[in-house]
Amino acid sequence: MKPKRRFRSETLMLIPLYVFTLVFVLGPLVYMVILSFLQRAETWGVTNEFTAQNYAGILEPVYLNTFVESFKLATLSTLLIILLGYPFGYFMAKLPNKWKARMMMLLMIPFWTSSLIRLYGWIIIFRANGILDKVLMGLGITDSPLKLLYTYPAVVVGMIYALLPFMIFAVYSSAEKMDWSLVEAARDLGASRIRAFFTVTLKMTLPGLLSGVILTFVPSMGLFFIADILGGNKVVLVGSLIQDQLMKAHNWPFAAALSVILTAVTSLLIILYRKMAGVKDLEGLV
Amino acid sequence: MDVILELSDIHKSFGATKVLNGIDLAAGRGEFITLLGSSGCGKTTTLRIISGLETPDSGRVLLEGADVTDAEPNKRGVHTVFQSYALFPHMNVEANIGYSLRLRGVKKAEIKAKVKEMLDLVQLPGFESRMPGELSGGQRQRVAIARSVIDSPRVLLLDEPLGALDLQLRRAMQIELKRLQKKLGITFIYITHDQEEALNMSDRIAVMRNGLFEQVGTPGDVYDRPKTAYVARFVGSANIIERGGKTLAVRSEYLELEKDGAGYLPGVVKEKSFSGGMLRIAVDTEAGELVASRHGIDSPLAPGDAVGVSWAEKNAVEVEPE
Repeated sequence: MKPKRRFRSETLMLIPLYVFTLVFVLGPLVYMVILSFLQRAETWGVTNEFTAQNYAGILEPVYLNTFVESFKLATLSTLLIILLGYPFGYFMAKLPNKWKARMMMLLMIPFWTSSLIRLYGWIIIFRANGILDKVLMGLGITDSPLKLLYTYPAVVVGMIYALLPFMIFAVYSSAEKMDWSLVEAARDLGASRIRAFFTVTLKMTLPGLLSGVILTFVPSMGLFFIADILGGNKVVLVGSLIQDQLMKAHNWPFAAALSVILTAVTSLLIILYRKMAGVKDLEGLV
Repeated sequence: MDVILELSDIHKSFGATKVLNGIDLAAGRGEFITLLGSSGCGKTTTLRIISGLETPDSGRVLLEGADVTDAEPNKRGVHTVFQSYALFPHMNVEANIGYSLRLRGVKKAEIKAKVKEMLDLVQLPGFESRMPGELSGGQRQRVAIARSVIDSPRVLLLDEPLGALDLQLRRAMQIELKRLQKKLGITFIYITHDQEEALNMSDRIAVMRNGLFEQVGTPGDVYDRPKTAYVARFVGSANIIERGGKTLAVRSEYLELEKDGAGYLPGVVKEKSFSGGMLRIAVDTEAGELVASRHGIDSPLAPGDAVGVSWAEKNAVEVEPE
């Protein structure tokens, strides 16, 4: 009697969600795929002729290399973010409740300002004779300016800065739910602190860690403005490439083809991560 | 007695709260000792100090004569069966039970055989590949015990292991645990707040209160010869009666009620209640409310009746007042 009725009302409530997904997620995605098989028009827009030319174009070394570079940068950034973010989230979960709330607040505050504006702040820090150089030289650690702005390390720092909070939040939410008596049980059964960490804590927080990896790795493949602002023209990533093709070269089909490949690669990686870890549900992600 | 575990003058505070105020205990090899007390008396803290999950502020913990007070929990050869069982949810039953052997690098085939042996011992044969989430409370309990005894610990600590089980299962598990302990010959330090459980299973009972042992003795000692009024009330549900400058403990079944009689104390029947096959009669007297109990449901007494309360001298035990 009741279940059927409830089923119907639940379905009704889900309709906006489906509509939203269809219009704003699936729609653009399909449009992008279609676009990627069309040809660029002489002046503006596209012609309705089917071609696989755009995908063939990606195989040119110049573009393939961009993919490889992006992948390397994303991997490096993600590794560093794990090293910084995992302990941060882990220890944050062990703080008394009052301090948890305070830390959460401190992590949220930067989000009140546009990330673009915050990145410009790094220019002031990194530029020759900027804050960083002045501090290092003042302390006698270096004797000449490092000139970090528009270098690879500057881009990596920017990536870490922009994406670290997501790793912290993901690990924290996993560690917060952790039953610490399991660690005590492991210790009690003869595990050293390190063994207990690797056999119990890490396994229990793996869903958080993996969602953190996805939340940092996927965006760092595509984030173009960090490389643009802090890397100048020296570091070209897939994201920047797509943006250039779209905004400067007006080659929409090629930009679409690049996007399709980027989406495919990242989706594949997500599937791989999940297979690898045997984790069914990722923290905060489906 | 061949002493395997010794606690001497253990003190422990958490902030301003004093939890243990000088605990002394010597447990013999193969002995079943129960720490009995109400919640907050320091039972669990005592257990955690033995296992090394807490360190005492002062006092020593000796295992087979060696001082392990500051030793890491993994260096003690003492295991705990936690109240929540604390089974690793990401490992199946086999991996859970074999955990301690795996840490020690025992060969896979050997672990497999040993786990099978343990599952037979706790009567869960063939459960190797189940996940903890698929087990009932009683089954989890057995897995937790198997996990803790597989590498023959010197002492097994059990923190209210039957607390989460229903009454029938509890009774069955009490018998089974006792059987297991006899068979394995491992020293058990067992925590409970249930005096019946303590009386049923233990070789010796340590009655705990406010971070101290009120009395340590055999079930017969604490039940029949309580030293303090607290022990008499907590273990034997005895009436405490101040009389002639002495504090006496008289258990409810020994309290005699005579209608319109004189007895030692005059009183008035207040109420009657029936539970567990016993009729309990509460009587108001000048020494406070006393409770008498009888088998069967019938009684000539009714609320409001005047009665004389008395008892045989041999059934009154003189105890230290609270």
